Amino acid sequence: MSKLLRGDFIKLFKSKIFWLGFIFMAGLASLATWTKYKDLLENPDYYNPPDGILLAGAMYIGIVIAVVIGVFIGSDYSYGTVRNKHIMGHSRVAMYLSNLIISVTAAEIMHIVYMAVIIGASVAGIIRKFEMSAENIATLIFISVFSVAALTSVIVLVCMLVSSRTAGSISVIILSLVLIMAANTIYFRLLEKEYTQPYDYTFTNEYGEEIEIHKEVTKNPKYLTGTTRKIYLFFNDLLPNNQIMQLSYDYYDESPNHTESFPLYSLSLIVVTTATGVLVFRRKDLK
Amino acid sequence: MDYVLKTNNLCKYYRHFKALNGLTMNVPKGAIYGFVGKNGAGKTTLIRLICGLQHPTSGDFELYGIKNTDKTISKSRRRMGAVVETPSIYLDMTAEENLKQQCRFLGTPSFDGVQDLLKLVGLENTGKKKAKNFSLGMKQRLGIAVALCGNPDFMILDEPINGLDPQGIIEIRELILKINREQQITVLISSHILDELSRLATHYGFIDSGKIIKEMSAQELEAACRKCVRMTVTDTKALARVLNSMNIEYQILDSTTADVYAKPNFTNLAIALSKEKCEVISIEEHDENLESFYVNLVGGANHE
Repeated sequence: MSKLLRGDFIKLFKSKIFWLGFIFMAGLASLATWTKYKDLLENPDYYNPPDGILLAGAMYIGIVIAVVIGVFIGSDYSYGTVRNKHIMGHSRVAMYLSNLIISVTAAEIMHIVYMAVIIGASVAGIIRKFEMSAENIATLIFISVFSVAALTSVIVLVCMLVSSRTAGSISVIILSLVLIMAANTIYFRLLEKEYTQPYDYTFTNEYGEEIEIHKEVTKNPKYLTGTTRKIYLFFNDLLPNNQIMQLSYDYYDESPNHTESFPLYSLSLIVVTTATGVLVFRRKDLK
Repeated sequence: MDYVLKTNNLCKYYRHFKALNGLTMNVPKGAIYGFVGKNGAGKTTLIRLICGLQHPTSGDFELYGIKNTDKTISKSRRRMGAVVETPSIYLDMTAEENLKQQCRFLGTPSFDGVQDLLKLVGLENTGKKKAKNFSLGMKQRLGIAVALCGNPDFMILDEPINGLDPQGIIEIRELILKINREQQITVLISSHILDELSRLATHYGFIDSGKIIKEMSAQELEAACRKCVRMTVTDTKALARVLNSMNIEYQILDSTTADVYAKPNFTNLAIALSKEKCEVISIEEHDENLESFYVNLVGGANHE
């Protein structure tokens, strides 16, 4: 497998699509930094730390990874070079694992460059300092690296099993969008309170009469309970985009969370997707 | 005889469609094995199975004596190079980069042989031109060069001259002959362009509906296609005696038919046969080429 890795790493670092992804993520981070910098200039007294944007890129990195990996792995199918690798004696397991390692590396480089720009700008004093401690930032980065690896393993699974560059790329882009939408739906649905807040409201109608409205505490119909809530909670912890969302919104708020278990969920997802991918890829007809 | 490849009753089914239906063939070492069959006969399916790109439904094959079910089959595949369907090359790389990339995947310690390979396939002057800007013939030659990277003993070429112009066909033919004669590489070449195959092949396997229907050497095919007079007589034993006495080459096909490889004086021959109490029923000129031989073999008009 080391031969495959050597060849594919050289191919990756020579590929335009990878560097485009790299530049895009760096650009995205620069844009987020610039927004913060503008806020700082316009409202110098307003305390606006960059904590919230540190993982903003990771929430949408799935689309960039999908494009880069879709083209990278898909080109092996479209050029027919996947056949060469197998004919020259490389096992299918080695081919799958090599592509996974290359893809995860590419994804992590793009993920890290985004965070490096934000942290760099903060350290250089261009934007405000982080509210989080350095230790918290390191923990956040550590956990998010696992989340991005898990997201990449899902993308690699689809790319390896769809033998067409176009179909594979489109499939993984759609999958990334679905994961982002699912993350939003699950996360915000879980935020729903069990009961609506009581409130009193007074207003004057068109006849000049004062109307008073008194709302009692009622049960929120959108609040999830029982098995449904358990399922939502499970996916909220399992899905990489949900993990990133929780890390972004909850972590630095110091609200109750269990982010320390995320790497375990991510590793489980990597193991399951890779085992499935290897099993199916071993029997797949390489046309 | 040593065989590079032996297949035994290979079957490959796609649901109810039998792409290969008990195919048995033997590729001798050092041969250029012409694998002849119409489109859809199962040529590419067999090649995919040998290359490990697909798995047989039943049956097996041996590559350098190692069965496909053996775990070490991938090691024997390292002695093999193949161009299956289209040349497997990176279109966004130059010819040299393609060969270097193949060397990396093979774990070759240096790129010393790359220039020689480019020279062998006539692509040494392509410089920084990307493979996507190559002609079809150049891509095909680069595909062969990539397959030659690991110094294989056995090359599989699937329809290598499809879509090439006459110049391209000549170049590929010369290249195949060169690697076979100079580097002693056994070549399995599938094609339905019979005229071209007949200029190359030392052995033939004719495939139809997923089965080998005839396997023969080029000499045997030449004999079968030799210009002759096919005579139908009442007694071929008598005919043999007369032809022996006249020193004429012949081949008895059955008790009433024989091929005579000369144009004898038929009056004298008829008189001599009459003395042996043998009647001449018919005489017809028989001239087959590879194409007509193949058409006759797979069932004539039904397969045209």
